[in-house]
Amino acid sequence: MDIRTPDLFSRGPSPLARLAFYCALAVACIVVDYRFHRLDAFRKAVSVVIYPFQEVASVPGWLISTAQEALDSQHNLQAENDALHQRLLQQADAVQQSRLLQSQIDTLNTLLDLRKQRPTAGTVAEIIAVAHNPFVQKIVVRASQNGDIRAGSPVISVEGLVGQITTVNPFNDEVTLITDKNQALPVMVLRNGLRAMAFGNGEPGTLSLPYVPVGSDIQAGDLLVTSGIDGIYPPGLSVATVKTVERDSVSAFAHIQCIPTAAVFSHRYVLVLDVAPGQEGNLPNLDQPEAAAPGPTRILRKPKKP
Amino acid sequence: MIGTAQEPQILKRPATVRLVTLSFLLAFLFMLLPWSGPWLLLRPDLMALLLVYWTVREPMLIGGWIAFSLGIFADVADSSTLGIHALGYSIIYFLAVYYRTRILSFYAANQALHILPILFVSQLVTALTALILKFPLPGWMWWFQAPFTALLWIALPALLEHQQVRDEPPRVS
Repeated sequence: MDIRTPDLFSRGPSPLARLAFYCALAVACIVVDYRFHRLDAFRKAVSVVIYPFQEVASVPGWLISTAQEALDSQHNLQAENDALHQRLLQQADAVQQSRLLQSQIDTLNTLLDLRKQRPTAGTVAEIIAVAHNPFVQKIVVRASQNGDIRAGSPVISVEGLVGQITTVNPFNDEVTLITDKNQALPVMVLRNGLRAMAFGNGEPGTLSLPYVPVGSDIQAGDLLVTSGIDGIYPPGLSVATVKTVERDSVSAFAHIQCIPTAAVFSHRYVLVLDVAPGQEGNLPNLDQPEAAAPGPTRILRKPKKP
Repeated sequence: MIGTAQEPQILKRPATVRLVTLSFLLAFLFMLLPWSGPWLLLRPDLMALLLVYWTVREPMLIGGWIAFSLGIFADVADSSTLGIHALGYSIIYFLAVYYRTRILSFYAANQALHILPILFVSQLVTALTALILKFPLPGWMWWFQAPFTALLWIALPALLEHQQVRDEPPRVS
């Protein structure tokens, strides 16, 4: 039996009044955070508090993976090592060729008096968690060296583009995946240079190109790479392969679905590329269409569906 | 079972703040485990469950601000827009306070049937908020989160009350 006095002659305002107060507060939080992004400092402070818990919660997963590694047989390791050697050898040719090509491009650019392409450098980061939120496509990473990561940096894995750093916290950083509903990136069909915008569908493993005219030369199996025209993502990063192209007479645009090349969830490490100077904090901020930022800041905005 | 009149009465010590805090911390850790894929969609919301449990059991300990702060922590942990969980938990808290006496008059399984709509309303509010903010809704499996959480209600008294009785023997005056 509950021996406490029931909440009859309650202290303070009625439950309904309290409900109204807290709901209003929560709605205010949502609006301020979603619309104006004014709670980032508060979020960072809270994230510092919950960081130890995240560490503790990652222990079971760490134990399992460590145990798996320990139990992994010599044979498996040998096989993996061989496969990696093979891959390295296969890529050696491409790497050496790319050096030659790069020097040729540099020479041509100098001749044509164009700006030199920025060499990309990066920081290795470990994936520590997948955001526990079915509404967004994010992962949480921790950089190997501190202080190098800035909001807006592209994040890549062995196979291609993974996403973009969107929140920098003191101990870890959030990466919004390219499959997130709010992510848009300029891509190019590698085969013929056709440019398009790729948008996340808000679910893992799919991207779509909603604004490619019906008559465009694009077909299933085409590889999409970043075009580099936004100044955020360096050109040439693998993004996705085209899975289906559907053309119908009703719509002026083809329905194109793609599969991202980077398998995010099978990796433990990603590479965070440095942002170009002046591009820092250049996030694809879709929530603020009217925020005409001063200076060179560009905002990738998802156009309204026709 | 919680305070049903038909049962033999066991005088239990009221839950200590320590037990309540510890249970919430464990629920928070449970939430932070590396869930992904379908498991993430089905992950029971232990924080919400405990919020109802302690609101029903120890209404003097749990205030609206606790529900709200738990929600804020959950939001940061889930990297969702600040306030979404806070809104859901505030509603859960209100419903738990409102239906407290009614819930207490049932056995555990019937209580779980009362918990289900409470959790479901909160989930519905979350879904509505997501729709308004134009987030894509997660797969259909997500809707089974509330039933799964409500099922755990049946196990909850056994876990926590046992703790209370064992911790400190009841004082009978």
